[in-house]
Amino acid sequence: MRGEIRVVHYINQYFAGAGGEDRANIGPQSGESPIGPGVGLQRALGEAAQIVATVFCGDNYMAEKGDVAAVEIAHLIGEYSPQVVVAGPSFGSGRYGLACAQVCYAVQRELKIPALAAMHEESPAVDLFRRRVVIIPTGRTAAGMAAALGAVARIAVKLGRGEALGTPDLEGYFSRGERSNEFSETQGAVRAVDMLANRFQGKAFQTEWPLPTYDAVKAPPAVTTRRPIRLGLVTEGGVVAKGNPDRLPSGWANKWVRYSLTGIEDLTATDFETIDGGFDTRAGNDEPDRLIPVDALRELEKEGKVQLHGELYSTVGNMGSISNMRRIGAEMAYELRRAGVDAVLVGAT
Amino acid sequence: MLVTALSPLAKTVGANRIVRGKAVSHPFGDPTLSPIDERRFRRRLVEKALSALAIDVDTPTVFEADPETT
Repeated sequence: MRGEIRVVHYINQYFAGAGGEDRANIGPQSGESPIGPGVGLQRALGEAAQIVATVFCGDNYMAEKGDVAAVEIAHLIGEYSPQVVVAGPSFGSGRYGLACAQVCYAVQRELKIPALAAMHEESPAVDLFRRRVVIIPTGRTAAGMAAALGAVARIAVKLGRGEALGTPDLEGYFSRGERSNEFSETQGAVRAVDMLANRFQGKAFQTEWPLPTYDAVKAPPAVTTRRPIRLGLVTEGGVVAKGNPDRLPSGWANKWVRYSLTGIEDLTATDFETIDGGFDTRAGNDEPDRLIPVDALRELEKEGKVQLHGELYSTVGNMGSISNMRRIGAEMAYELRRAGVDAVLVGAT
Repeated sequence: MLVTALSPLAKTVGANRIVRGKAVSHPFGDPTLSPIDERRFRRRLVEKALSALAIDVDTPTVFEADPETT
């Protein structure tokens, strides 16, 4: 007899055998048995749990209706009274991965039961949902189905039993950004010296705190045009119009602002200021060109060396998270690209 | 190009074209100079930054400003 744990499995139209892209618009449907990869999942679950239903939906339906569809699906899932919900594995898929994560998140909110998804780390859903949903890493393609199902089954049973998960490293899921306190038998200084000794001796060691990785961006080729260089201007020094009408924060920024430079020959203390909380702003307030050199650039513009983009883009780098700054940079780059600039001068404090 | 006083940091993070600015709180300025001299300093720094655009780089590169601008 199968264990008490009732599982509902969410998959997309393709894995349900309903069709490919041509059926990506179908709405949620369900069946009271394992379907597609659910058959392998049930095998992996063995006697510990039973897939009481499979719910599937078209990827485009999910992509277009987003959380509304996810909530709809969560309620459909709820009709089967599961203890745990499994979504995917979706491997490298974009839309399907997002759908799985959204369904899991909705299930957690609406039904207050655990849910888990499984996908490749490069799926956009991982970055977006890892803090909110347990996501198990998989290979890039369905060639890794068997391995993925094994990991999924193990964690699904734990969650279904109401057991707490161990650390991401131990259990095998994407870290959720959670920090919990624990006591160590060994004092930090001893652990640090041991780690250093191992490192020097070429022995294995494990950092207790992984440093952030920065992407390597290939340098664009040199600008060798003979006409004036079209130049965008960006500052992360918190330059704002006097009074900060757009309320750019002094730190932890998640937005940026833009000011027209039309008719502006230099940044004056009457019209501009800096609200950056990360440095002494007196010099920048007295003369904002010290932060982004509009005056010098206008001089060079009159000499035909550059042609300034019509706007100044501004944000505050102080205490900025890498993810926010990445997004802000990407948004600025998109606009500057659209405006057809050749290059960008970035003033940083 | 990135103009910042923290050029070693910029290199670590992977900015490709970097020119060293004067100070954190005034990368393009020097309040110890007279206004005229400061304008001149700012202009030379900007010219240095613009000249870096015309140079191909493979890896993060700090373009050192001329002695009198640092």
